[in-house]
Amino acid sequence: MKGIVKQFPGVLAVDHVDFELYPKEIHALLGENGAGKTTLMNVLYGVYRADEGQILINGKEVKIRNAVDAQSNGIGMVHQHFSLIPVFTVKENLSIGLRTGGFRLNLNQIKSKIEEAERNYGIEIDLDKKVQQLSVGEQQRVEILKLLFRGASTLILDEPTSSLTPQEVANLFKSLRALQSEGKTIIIITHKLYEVLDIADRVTVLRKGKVVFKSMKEGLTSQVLTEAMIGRGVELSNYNREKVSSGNSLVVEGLSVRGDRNDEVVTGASLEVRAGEILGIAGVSGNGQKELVESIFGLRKSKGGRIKINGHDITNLGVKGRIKVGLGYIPEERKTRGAAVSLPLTLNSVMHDHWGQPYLTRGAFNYKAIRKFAGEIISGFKVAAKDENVPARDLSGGNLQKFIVGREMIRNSSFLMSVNPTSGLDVGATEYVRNELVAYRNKGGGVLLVSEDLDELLALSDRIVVMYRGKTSKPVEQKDFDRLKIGAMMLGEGFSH
Amino acid sequence: MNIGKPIQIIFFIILALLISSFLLLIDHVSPIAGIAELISSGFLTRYGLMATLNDTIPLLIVAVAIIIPFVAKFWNIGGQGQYIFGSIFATWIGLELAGSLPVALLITVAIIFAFIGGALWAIPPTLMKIYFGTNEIITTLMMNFIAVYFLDYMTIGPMEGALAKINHVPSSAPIPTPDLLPHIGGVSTGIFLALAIAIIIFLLLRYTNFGYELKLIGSSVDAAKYSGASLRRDLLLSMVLSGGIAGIAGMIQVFGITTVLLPQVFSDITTSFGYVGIPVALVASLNPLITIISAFFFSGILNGAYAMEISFGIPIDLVITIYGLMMFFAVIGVMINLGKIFRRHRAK
Repeated sequence: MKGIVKQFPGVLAVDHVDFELYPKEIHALLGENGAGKTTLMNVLYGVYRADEGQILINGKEVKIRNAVDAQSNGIGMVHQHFSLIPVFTVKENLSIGLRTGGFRLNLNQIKSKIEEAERNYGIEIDLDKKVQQLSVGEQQRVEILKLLFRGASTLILDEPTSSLTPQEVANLFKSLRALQSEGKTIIIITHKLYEVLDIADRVTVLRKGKVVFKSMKEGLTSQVLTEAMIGRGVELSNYNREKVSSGNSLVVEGLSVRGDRNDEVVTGASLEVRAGEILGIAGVSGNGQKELVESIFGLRKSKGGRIKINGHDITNLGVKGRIKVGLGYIPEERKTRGAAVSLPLTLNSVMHDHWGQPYLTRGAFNYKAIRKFAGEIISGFKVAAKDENVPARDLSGGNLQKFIVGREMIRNSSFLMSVNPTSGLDVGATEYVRNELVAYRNKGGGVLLVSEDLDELLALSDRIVVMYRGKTSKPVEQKDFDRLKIGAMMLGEGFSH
Repeated sequence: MNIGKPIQIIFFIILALLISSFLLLIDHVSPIAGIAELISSGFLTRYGLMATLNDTIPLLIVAVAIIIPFVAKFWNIGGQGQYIFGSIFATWIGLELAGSLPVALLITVAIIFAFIGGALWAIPPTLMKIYFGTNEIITTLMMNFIAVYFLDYMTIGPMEGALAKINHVPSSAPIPTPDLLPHIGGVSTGIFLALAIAIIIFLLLRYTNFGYELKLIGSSVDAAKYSGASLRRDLLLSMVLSGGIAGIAGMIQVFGITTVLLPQVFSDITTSFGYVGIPVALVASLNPLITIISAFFFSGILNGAYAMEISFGIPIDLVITIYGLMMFFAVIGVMINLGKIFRRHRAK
């Protein structure tokens, strides 16, 4: 791939990337979330079309406009979210899109072909089981088989280990080596260092859409890779911080929370947010940050542990009770959680105040007071909106975020949680939101800031706690902020495996 | 350009009238004379207006009842069954207590029992939704089937009237006290109750915290949870109110119009207020005050259509088809945005 450029509205996802793949190698494409790895591979697989650049196979330019083109060039991809039909059997899933001639599906003929493929590549799977009965690792094997079955010689695997158990990872790697010895070429997209060091022959590192590092594996260390992945050059904060302290705090002790799949995704997390500080939570996404925040706000039941605000135990309170104690929350999902987008800004302004004075007087909504409050948010936080009666969906992402930030800050909360507050915002809105967070802190509020953007955390936080596989690290003080060290902790260093 | 919803609805109703004209032509009736009859007998003549207002009463109440959970996007299709159970409870209490209670007290007790009957019929599907996640559209609809046949059974079984036995027409005995809900100029005084209910529900949705939380749930369940709303309580309360109020419609119909409990026929659109209430509520954009107009309008169209049957000898099925067309097109008028479609077209 040569000079590939892919632009999305507002982001340059892939910026003049050159990427070479040699036959029969296992190539790791490494980078942080949002570095452009998946986008680049989606270009190769025909999901996206590059704005610039060319793809050459054996020196000849090919046009890959869709997945069919990719497949006819022997390229196959397993996405992070599988594309199997859960109620079909493995056999039926493998037959999809295969042309066996004639109108009738000859499942038996297909079966013998599958078994042959299984023998060749050492992948074992029960063909008559329904996909929904399989474990994640087994489903992944079906996906790989599907590609082999369609004649793929180059396999792209997007974050293949992200939801596998260690045993399953070992199995997967065994299969990948077997495939390699059968002459297949494999690309794995990952942000895990040990995987690269374990299985890859060569590695390409992307950062912010650009290739920053290429090397054979020999002689590589995790330090070198970490540095390449997250870069140097910390821009230290130029935000004006004042020392404020009131002794109040939001305390989480030994919190355990189950995730959507009922597995424990937060395991004994502890942290303390003091009044007048921003406590950053660093971590690769999916290490329990989302569930931690939801549990602190009362949206998710905790399995164990305590949550306290200024000494009050709020562990058993509902969302409303926690808001009343003084907790605010700026969710990442602004359009589905932070706002009810079909309702006007007036009604959105009182989402956390709709049960009492001055907006609910003697059981009835006081629309005059509500309009006034919405107006205050709009003017106080420079929200570009025609008036306070427009539905929230008419606002741009940045303006809606300013509105939500304003709502959560103007009401008398003492602690505020904010998750990826600037994701998807343009430069102006990003700067505005960051400044407001610091201003809130300077007025004595405590902020729990969860962000995937390490630069943002380093610039805004007073202390940083790293989350890895549901566990929290000890806080790192601002004077000890070190990009590489925190980066390594995000990848598991210092956590017991 | 954004043409308002009222204009869109009128546009689509005219479209429905055009298609109806075509159907009338096939039946050898002048469309102009037919539609003139439809409008004058539905809305302009004294008897037409009387009948229309009487039909408006139960239709308005049921439509307003349905609006409450609809605001939270909880689709109560069970208005019919709740209406039926309200009428059964009210008739039963009327037959038991008539004569032994003063009329005003009897009516009050009947309203309470009708509310309880309708609410009871609305609670099971709601609990099933809350605790097991069952689809309320299916469960409330199924509850209607049970209610319809239970009513059949009641009118030929335990509650069968003496006269009905002789005539072989299923119905309950009439409630003995005359003029339970007196008529003024031929219109049941139930109309005041209906208007009061519409206004109360309008205020409830606009001014109470409960109404606000229903709107949040309807806009986004996640946003509602985030706001601290208690979803289970809100949904259950909305359905208790919805079923209860639909039940009151059943009571008002028995006490004010029929005086007896009559079995229902599924295909009979004239008594299927629970179903017809759905388009009536949708056309009014779930606003209880606008529902007063839409319930009146569709009742008038139905009565006008009946008049066409009598004046021109048009088959009843064609008449009802025309009524159905009007509803269908009016609902489309609410659901789509013509201005947007035109813009998109011009952009091409």
